[in-house]
Amino acid sequence: MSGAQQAEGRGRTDRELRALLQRTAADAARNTPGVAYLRPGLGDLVRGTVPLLAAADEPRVAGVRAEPDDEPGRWRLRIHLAVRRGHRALDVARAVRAEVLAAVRRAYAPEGPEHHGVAALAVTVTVTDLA
Amino acid sequence: MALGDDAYEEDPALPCGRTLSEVWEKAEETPDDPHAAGCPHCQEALTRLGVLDDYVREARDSTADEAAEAADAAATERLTARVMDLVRTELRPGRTLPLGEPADDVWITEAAAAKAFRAAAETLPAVYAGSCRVALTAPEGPMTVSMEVEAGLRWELPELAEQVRRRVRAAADEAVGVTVSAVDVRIVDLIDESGEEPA
Repeated sequence: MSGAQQAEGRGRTDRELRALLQRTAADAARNTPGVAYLRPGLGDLVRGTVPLLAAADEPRVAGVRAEPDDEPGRWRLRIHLAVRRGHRALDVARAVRAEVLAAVRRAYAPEGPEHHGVAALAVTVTVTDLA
Repeated sequence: MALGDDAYEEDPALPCGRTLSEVWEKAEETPDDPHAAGCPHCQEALTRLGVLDDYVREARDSTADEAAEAADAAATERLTARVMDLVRTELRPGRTLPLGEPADDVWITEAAAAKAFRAAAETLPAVYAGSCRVALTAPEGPMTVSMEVEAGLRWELPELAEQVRRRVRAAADEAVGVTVSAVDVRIVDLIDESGEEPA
């Protein structure tokens, strides 16, 4: 990575990067065969006075949470989704993980359009419902 | 992610100490519960649940076909039940269980696995699944399933238990992708399929 690119990477805030990562991951997960829907977060809707885990001004995408890891440039994506009946939960979850990793690598590879500041990525997929 | 890491993080406590799912259950079981009646936090949580319930009914009603009003009322009930079921699933996911190998980093909530197992048991005629718990015998599995069922009087009990075990094991393999080492079936009620309770 060139010095200019590094500077550009640092210029992009964690908040912006989080939003981009979440959108990229959500699109990849939603389009994986066997995914019924990403967890809609209806629980948040009924939580009332309970403080949400993320601050109110943080970008939120249903079913996807991106968190910076301890080391700079390392991110973790947590994806929660429902699997469509007739599909095997394990196979769908594995496929989602592979699709999300590939999509993020495509978008954030050094030669890609959104390389800024993502050095490593961990993806955790949890099946929360069967639909 | 450690086993059961975020087991109940989705169901945090209100300032009064009750979790949202407890508030909901209490409201259904004991509508005149004195704590809930006097607690502003519980009251606000219940109001929000009511808003969601109303919203779903309203959305469904606004598309109602007057010619099929009766059928539509039933459809509204079903849709409302499905949405509220979805909210429950989010609030009470149960433990997070490993799917596949540790390197996979893929997981399934106990609620989702239990749903597959209950549905598998209910493919048997006159069998209705109730409570279903899924537990790990070791950190990476296998799992044990404990299920309560109600069944019609047509069933011989040992045969019923064996058939439920087979369906649950098949679902574990084909629908979920986990290994189940034991299926504990408790038959909690027998149903007279003519519609009358047995003596």
